[in-house]
Amino acid sequence: MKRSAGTLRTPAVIAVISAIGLIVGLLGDSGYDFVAWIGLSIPVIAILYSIRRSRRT
Amino acid sequence: MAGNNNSMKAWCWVHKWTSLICTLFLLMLCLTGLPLVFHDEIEAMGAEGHAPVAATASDKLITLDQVIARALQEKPGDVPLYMSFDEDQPVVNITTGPAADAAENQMSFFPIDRRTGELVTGDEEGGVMDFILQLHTDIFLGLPGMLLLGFMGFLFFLSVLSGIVIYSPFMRKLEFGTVRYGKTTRTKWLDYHNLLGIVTLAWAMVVGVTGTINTLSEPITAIWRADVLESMTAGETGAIAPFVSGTAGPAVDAAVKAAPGMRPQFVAFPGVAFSSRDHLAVFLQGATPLNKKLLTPVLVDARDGKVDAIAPMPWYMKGLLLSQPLHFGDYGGLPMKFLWALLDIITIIILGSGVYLWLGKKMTVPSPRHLAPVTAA
Repeated sequence: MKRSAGTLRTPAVIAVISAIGLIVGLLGDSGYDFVAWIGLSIPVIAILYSIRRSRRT
Repeated sequence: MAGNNNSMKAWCWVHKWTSLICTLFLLMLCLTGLPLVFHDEIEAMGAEGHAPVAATASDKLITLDQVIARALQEKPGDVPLYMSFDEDQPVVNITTGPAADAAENQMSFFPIDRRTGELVTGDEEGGVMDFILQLHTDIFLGLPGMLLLGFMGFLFFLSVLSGIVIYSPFMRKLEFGTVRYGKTTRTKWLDYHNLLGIVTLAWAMVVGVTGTINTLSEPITAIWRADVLESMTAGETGAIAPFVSGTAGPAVDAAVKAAPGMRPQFVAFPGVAFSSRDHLAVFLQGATPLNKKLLTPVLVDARDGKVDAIAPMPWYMKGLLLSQPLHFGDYGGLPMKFLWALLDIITIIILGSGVYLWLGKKMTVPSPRHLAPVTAA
């Protein structure tokens, strides 16, 4: 159980950040939109970072 | 331990079958969804020379009732069913039909510029984007098609959920995000599949679930109509209030006066799905993306023009209305649309790699008989 908690920690953080982005974007424009862009960028950044790191090792 | 293994096997089974059943539909939905994310921009490009121009103070606008009369000139004998307002230009869209309960294919749509009183060209229905939209919404099968796609959305949700459960055993010995480039192609694609799937899970679940909710829009709206709107006409004879020319403009004015600070988004005439038999339902929206979507209907009596009620939406209609932006990704400007498209493409890769892994798995355990000709070749 501990092990699966460990493997899911980073994905859970990414999921929470994207969900916050999705919801905050609904609340307003400009500043709120910016939070939404950040939130939805995190999964894409995580993919790019992981691929880059894996290619190096 | 054996119990754990058995439950993991069961989750693998759920992941395999929910994914396999919905993959082709999901692939179609992702491919058609991609241009739909940018439908505003694509339609603006197609309507060159008709780019939205906001009204200036000096523009003399024709009244809403003149707009309706103009639309009815195009289709004599029809009655108005809906009237919606463009946000970025003084254009009012009139939907007409032979009767209030007209089927969708009997309806006609007339966008009319309030400055000129003329039909706006370039907004006609039946273009490529409409084809794509209908394919995406109901695969040309109407309500059964919508419900089928809704079920596929539900399977997709289960597929993501089971994917999360079986992610851990696959990644137990690996650091997050590892892609094993040194191993076989299949291992590499398994890692890609796991990485792309696990980081996009929140977005995929939200888009999947809201898509499924959107497929239920017709039954949900019907429940709301029976629940809320019809209760306001209880005791009436059941006849639909006839359309009377000259009543729409005053009804909109009365509604806006009753709810200051809001603007009309659309009007539903008596007897249509979004109104009662006796009312013009004027749907008002607020300023923020949230309040823009959470419409508030003001019911104006079609016979005497008085505001009968401001009827805030019940929770299930709010859920339906919020499911639209969360599915379309149209509430955070162009950067959000690009991110939405990117996540859509990532989902296509996840679907493709899933099929590849499923096929590959079969190929890893071939019988020697099957291997022989391949080796010989």
